[in-house]
Amino acid sequence: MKNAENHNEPNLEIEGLPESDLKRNAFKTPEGYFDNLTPRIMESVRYTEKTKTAVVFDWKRILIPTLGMATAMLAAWFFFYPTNSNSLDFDTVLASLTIEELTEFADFETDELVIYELVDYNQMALAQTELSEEEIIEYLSEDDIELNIIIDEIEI
Amino acid sequence: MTDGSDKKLLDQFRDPRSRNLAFSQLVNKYQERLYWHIRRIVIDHDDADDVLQNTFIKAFKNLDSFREDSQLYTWLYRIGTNESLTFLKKKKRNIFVPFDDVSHGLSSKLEADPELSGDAIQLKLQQALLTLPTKQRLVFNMKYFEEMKYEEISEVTGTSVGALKASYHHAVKKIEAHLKNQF
Repeated sequence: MKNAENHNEPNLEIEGLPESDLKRNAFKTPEGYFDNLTPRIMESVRYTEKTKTAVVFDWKRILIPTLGMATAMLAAWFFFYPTNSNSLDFDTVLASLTIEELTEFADFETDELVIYELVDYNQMALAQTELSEEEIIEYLSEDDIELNIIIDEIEI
Repeated sequence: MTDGSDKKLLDQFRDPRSRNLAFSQLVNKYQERLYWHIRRIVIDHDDADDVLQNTFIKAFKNLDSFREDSQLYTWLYRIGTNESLTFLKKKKRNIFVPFDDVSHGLSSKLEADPELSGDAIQLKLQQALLTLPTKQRLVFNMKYFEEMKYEEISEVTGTSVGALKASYHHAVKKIEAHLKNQF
C-alpha cells in the first residue's frame, strides 16, 4: 500500500515542520483497546445474527391487515351478494301485474312501459282507450270507410 | 484481484463450518487499519468504535456477495467510509446545524479529546483538515496519512483518479495556507 506516486504529488510543506511531525498519528486509543477488539466485534456480529434469525411474532403486523381484509370482504358481501329471500324473478313479477298496476304502483310512466318492452304498443293503445269492444269495432269500420273514400279520391 | 491470504479467508468464510473462524481472522487482520481510517473521519474514539462495529457487521452480512473484482481491504474501506459519512450526516440531522458547524464541533472535540496526543502541531493540522469539505478531507487522509494509491482510493470512493488528484492538490494548498498563518 506504500505510495510510489509521491514524486508526482504536491507535498505538504510547512516551513520549519518536518514531514515526520506532520504525519505522526494525532490520535490515541484507550489502553488495550485493540487487545479485545476482535472478540467484541464478533460478539456484535453474533448478536446481530441472533436477532435476525429469532423471528418474533408481531401480532399487530398480522392482525391489523387481516381485520381490514375481513371488514372489506364483509362489506362487499353485503353490497353484492344477491338476496335469496323472497327471490321472485323480476319478469315474473311484471307479468303478474296489469298495466294499471304497473303505472300506479311501479311508478312507471306509460311511455316507459313501451320503451322497456313491458307491454307492446297495441296493448298500450287498447289499455289507454275507454271505448268498449263494440265501439272499437265500429271505430275501425269507420276507419275502413274513410280509407275507402281516400282510396277513391286518389284514384280520381 | 484479491490477494492469496484473503482468497483463503473468503473460501473458509463460504464454508458454514469455518465461517465464524474465518471472519474472526478477517476482523483481526483489518480492524486496526479500519479503525484509524474511521477515526480520522469521525474524530471521536467512541464514535469510531461504534462505526467500526457497524462496518464489520455490514461486512459479515454482505461478504457472500463480494465478487472479488476489487481487493478485500478496499471493499472494507468502502463500507467503513460509507458508514462514517452516514454517521456524520445523522449527526448533522440530529443537531439541525449546517455541516460546517459539525466540523466546528469536531474541532472542539479535538481540543477536548483526552485520547488526542498533546501535540500542538498535530492539533493544528487536524483543525486545518476540518476546514476542508468532508470528501476532500477523506481523500487527503487516505493519500497523506494512509499512503494509498489513487487507484485504491478510487476503488474506495468510486471517484475517478483525475478527480482525486485534483481534490488532493486543492487540499494540500488549502492546508498549507491555513497552517502558514498558524506557525
